[in-house]
Amino acid sequence: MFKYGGYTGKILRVDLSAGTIEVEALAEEMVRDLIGGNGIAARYLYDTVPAGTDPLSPENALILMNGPVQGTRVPAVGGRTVVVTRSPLSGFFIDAYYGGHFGAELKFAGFDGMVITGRAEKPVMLVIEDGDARLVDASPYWGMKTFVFQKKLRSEENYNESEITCIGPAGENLSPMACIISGVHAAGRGGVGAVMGSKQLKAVVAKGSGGIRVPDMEALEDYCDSIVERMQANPATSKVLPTYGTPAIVAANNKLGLLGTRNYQVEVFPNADDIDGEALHNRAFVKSASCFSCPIGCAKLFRMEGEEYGPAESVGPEYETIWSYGSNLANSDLKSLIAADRFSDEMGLDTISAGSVIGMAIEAFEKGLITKADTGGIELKYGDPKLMMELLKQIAANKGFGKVLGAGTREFGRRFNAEELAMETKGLEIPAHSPRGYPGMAIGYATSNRGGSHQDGRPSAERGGAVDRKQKEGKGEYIVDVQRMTTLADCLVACRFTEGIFGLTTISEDYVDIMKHVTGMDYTVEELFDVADRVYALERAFNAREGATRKDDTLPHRVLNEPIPDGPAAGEFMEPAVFEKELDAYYQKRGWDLKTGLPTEETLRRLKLDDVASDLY
Amino acid sequence: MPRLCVDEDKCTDCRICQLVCSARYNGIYSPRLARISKKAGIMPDTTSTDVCQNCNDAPCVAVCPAEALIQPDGEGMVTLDESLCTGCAICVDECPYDAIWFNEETDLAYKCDLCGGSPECEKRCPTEAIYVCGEETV
Repeated sequence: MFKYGGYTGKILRVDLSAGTIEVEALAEEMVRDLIGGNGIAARYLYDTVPAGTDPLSPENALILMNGPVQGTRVPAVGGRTVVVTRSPLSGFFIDAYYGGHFGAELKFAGFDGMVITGRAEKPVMLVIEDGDARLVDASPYWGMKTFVFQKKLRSEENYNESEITCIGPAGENLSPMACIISGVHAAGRGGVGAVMGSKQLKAVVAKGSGGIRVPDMEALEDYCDSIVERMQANPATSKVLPTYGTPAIVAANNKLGLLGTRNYQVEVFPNADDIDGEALHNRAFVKSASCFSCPIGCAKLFRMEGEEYGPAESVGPEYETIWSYGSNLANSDLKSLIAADRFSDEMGLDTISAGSVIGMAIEAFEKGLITKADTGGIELKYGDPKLMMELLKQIAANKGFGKVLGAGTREFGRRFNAEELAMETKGLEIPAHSPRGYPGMAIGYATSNRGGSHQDGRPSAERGGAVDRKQKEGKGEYIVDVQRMTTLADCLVACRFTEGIFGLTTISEDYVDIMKHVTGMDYTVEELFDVADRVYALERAFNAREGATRKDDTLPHRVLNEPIPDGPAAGEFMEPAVFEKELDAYYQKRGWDLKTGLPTEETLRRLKLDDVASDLY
Repeated sequence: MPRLCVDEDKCTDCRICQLVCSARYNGIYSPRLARISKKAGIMPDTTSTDVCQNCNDAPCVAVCPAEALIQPDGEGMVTLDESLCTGCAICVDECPYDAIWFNEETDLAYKCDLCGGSPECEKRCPTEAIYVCGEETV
C-alpha cells in the first residue's frame, strides 16, 4: 500500500508503438514535491518529451493524471482529470482539465495516471480495469462522434459500467483545436485531442471496484461536511451556479461592458438578454448534473425543439461558449448555441478557440484582409448561425478553409497579415474574460504557461469586487499569488468553483487541511507555495526549451493598443508601459529573470529543480 | 414499507450517496461497495438507482438458507445479520431490484438498512433527491 492516503501509488507507462504497458511505482519524493495532477504530469512531460518534439509525432507524450483527492468526497474535486502534453496549437506546454467521473474511476481502477507515448499501428483503446490495463482494437469505433461512441461502448457488456475518455472526428482528423471528451465534459484547450488522435488512440476506458483509503475517515467526513456548509452559505455555490450554471456570467459581464463582441472589437452585446443565463434557464433548462462528489451541480442540460442547426440538446453551452459562438460572432440565436455546443462536443472541438478564430476571420473578411478566394467561396459575416455551423464542420474535418481556421488565430494572422486581429497569447486563443477590462486577468493571460487561458490567472476576484477591478498597479504581483492558488488547485485537480470557498487570491490553509485529511502529509502554506512555484517553473522550463522568452509573455495588439470603444467600460485597455512595469514586478516576485522571463538558476535550485537548472544554465 | 426513494429529476449523479455510504460501512470511499447503486448514461436525464425496496414477503428473505436476512412478519425493513451470512450469494441473484451485492473481500452480502433509521445518503444528498418514503417510517 502506498505511504500516503488518497493515492494508489501506481502509474501506467504505455508505449503504443511497441504495444507495451508497464506499471510504474509513483515515487514518494515526487508526490511530496509535486503533489499530483498538474505537478506530476509536468515533471513526466519535461522528462519524457525532448525539446523540438513534433507535438503530433509518436515521441510526444499524452499524460492523464488524477490527484490525491479524486475519488474522495472532498466537494467539487472528486472526478476531475488533467491532460498534459506539448500542444500542437501553441507549440508550448498545455494542461487541459475535464470534470465528470473518469478521474475517480481511474483511481478505483488502481491508478494515479498514465504516460502514453508512441503511435499504434491501427486504432486502439486503452482499457483499464482493477489494476490491469490492455490495448483493444478500436477500429470499429474510429470515425464515431463522441456521444455515439460512448453510448455504443456502454451498450457492450464489458463496458457498461466504465467511464470513458475519448476523441471524436476532430481529434482523429488532427485538428489543432481538437479536444478530449469524457461523458459530456471536455478537456478543451490546446489541441490535446489531436495528440490523442495522432497516437491512433480512440479512448481510455476505466472501471474499478477499488476503494480509497485515508488516514482518518471520520475526520475527513467531518471536514467535508464543514466545506459543504460553507458552500451552502456562499451565494455562488448555493444559488447562482446550481440554478443557472456558468451562463449567469453573461449578464454580469455585459452589464460591466466587458462581454467580448465581434472578436472583441466592442464589448457590449446588445442582444445579450437573448443568450444569457435567464434566457437559457427559462427557454431550455431540463436538468442539472454534477461531476463526481460535487454538491454544486453547475452543469445544465438544455434542450430546444427543432433541428435546423442539428440536435439542440446539450449539457451546455457554458459561459465561454455563449461568448465564443454567441456575442463574439454577434449571434443571438439561442438554439444555435445549444446545437453548436452539442456539435462541438460530438466532434471533439474546443469551442473557445473555434469561436475565436471564426470571429477573427469574419473581421478579417469585413476589413478586406481575406476574400472569398481565401474562404472557399464563402461570404463571412457576423450574426449568421448557419455560417457558424458550416465553419465548425470544416474545422472539425480539418480540410480546406477549415484547416486554415483550425491552425488557430496566431497562424491565421501570420498567413493573412492580420496579426493585429488575433486574440491570443502564446498561440492559444484568449477566452471570454476581457483582458482590457480585467487587468489582473490580462497579466494572467500574458504569463500563463499555456497561453490564453483563464485558468492560470483568474477573473473572479476582479469581477466580483474582491479586488479593485480597474486598478492596474500591483496586479503583476497580485496575479503571481492567484496563479500559485490555481497551480496548486491543478495539482489537486480541483474545480475552479472551489475558489470562492478556499480563497480567490492565494493559497489558503484549506489546502493544508485537505492534504492532511486526505494524504496524511503535513504541509505548511509556505511549503505549498513552493510546490506551486516548482510546478510553474517546470512548465516554464519546458517552454524555455521550445524557445519561449519574455517576448512570448505578451498580449494581443488590440488589448495593448485599442481602448474599449464604447459602453460602460469605454476607454479601458492595457497601456504597454503599465503592462511592462507590472510584468517586471511579476518576474521579480517569482524570482525570474527580468530579461528572459525565465526562472533564474538560483530560483530553480531553491525549488529543488537542480537538473532543470543544469539544462537551462 | 419504509425504503429509500430517489427523485431522479433532482439527482445530479454526484455519487455523494455512495461515498458517504462506503465511508460509513467500509471505512473507505468505494462506490461499488455502497448499499445504493447509481447508473447514468451520457446525458444527465438518464440516471437510475438500485436500492433495497424492503418488499413485503421479501424474496431474498425467503431464499436465504442461513436465515441471515430477517423481516419480521413479512413486512417492513429487511435486515442482514452478518454473523449468520454464509456468503452463498443466493439473495444477490434473487433480488428483483438488483439491490443486494456481494463483497468478495469479506465474503458477505450487503444491502441498505437505512442506517438504522437515519440514512447518511439522505442527510448528505445535496439536492434532496433521496428521501425515506413508504407507509411507515422507521
